[in-house]
Amino acid sequence: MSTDDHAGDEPASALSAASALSALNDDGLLAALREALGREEPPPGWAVDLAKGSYGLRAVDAELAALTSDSGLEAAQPLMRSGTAPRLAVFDAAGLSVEVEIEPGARDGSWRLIGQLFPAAPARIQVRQQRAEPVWVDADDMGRFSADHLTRGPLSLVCERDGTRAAVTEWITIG
Amino acid sequence: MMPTEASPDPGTGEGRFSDDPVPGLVRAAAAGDAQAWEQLVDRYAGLVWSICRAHRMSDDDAADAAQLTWLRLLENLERVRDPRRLAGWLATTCRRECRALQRRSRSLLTVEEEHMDRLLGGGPPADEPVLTADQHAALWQAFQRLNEWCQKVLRALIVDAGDKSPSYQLVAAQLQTPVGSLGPTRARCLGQLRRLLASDGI
Repeated sequence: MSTDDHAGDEPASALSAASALSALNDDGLLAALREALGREEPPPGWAVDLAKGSYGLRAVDAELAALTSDSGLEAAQPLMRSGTAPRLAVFDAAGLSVEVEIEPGARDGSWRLIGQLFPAAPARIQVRQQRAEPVWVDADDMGRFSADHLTRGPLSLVCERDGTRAAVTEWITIG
Repeated sequence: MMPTEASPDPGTGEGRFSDDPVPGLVRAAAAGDAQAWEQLVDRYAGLVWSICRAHRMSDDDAADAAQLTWLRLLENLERVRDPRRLAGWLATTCRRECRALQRRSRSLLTVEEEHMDRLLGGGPPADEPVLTADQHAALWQAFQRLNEWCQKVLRALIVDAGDKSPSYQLVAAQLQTPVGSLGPTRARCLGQLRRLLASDGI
């Protein structure tokens, strides 16, 4: 539907997915239904409210900076403790890259992020979290910024620089 | 769903899908209508949640994957190419977020924890769902369109009763209906479901 990266993930179209199911016999169809609904329960009210409330987090006029690499999403390597290296995520928009390191913060259970803008330039960075008030931090002349006391859950950055359109990163989950 | 040839509108070319409110809701939400967004959430929150549950995630992880799915839709509202396929898109996106979260939780386990997990037979879910995300979405949507009685009967029949399905006697008692009627009802409701699936997207 929207972006091409979704297209390659599930090649079957909705049409062929549905018609493949309609070809199943009764037992097969019931088994598929058990698979789809068997563990179903109504979504908790707070989750629905949170999803509805997220409309306020829309960054309408900002350019989307796509997540292009994230060490936190790479295949698990049990013999190499990932806890020893901070997670590194990179977001790219036209004319701007945002690199962030995410590591445990000063307070127990909190998270800290250290960021770098390319090209290096001062900027105002808004750290947005779904379950906390947004925080503004400054990127210095070298394009460096940091934010502490972050909570687990979805996070996104809005980057405002003089003379250019604001950029907003894709959402990632920390914690 | 189920776009038909009824009321064609040569002006926009979209009129023939006028019985499907989803494209209109997506457009309205993209244009700034918060109520349209809330209607989309109401319509598909069950689908998104059921996919997170099918991945057997912890409450926290399921909530994160569900929220991330809605945030992805939010950041892609203007780029939606085929809003009639929103359910499939949400299902694919949600499944991807579930897998990403599972990979990440796994990579945070220590070697010892991983070892203990194996010894205890717990750990990451080994049984990946067999349905594709599109199939899950198609099935979920077709099921929502069944009449209430069919939904009730089929739900009772798929309840996880240990390793096997519940007996007809049990289901009949639960639904307060004659045992003899269950077989025909099951066949009739599955037939309806099959027809809904077959007509989906045509």
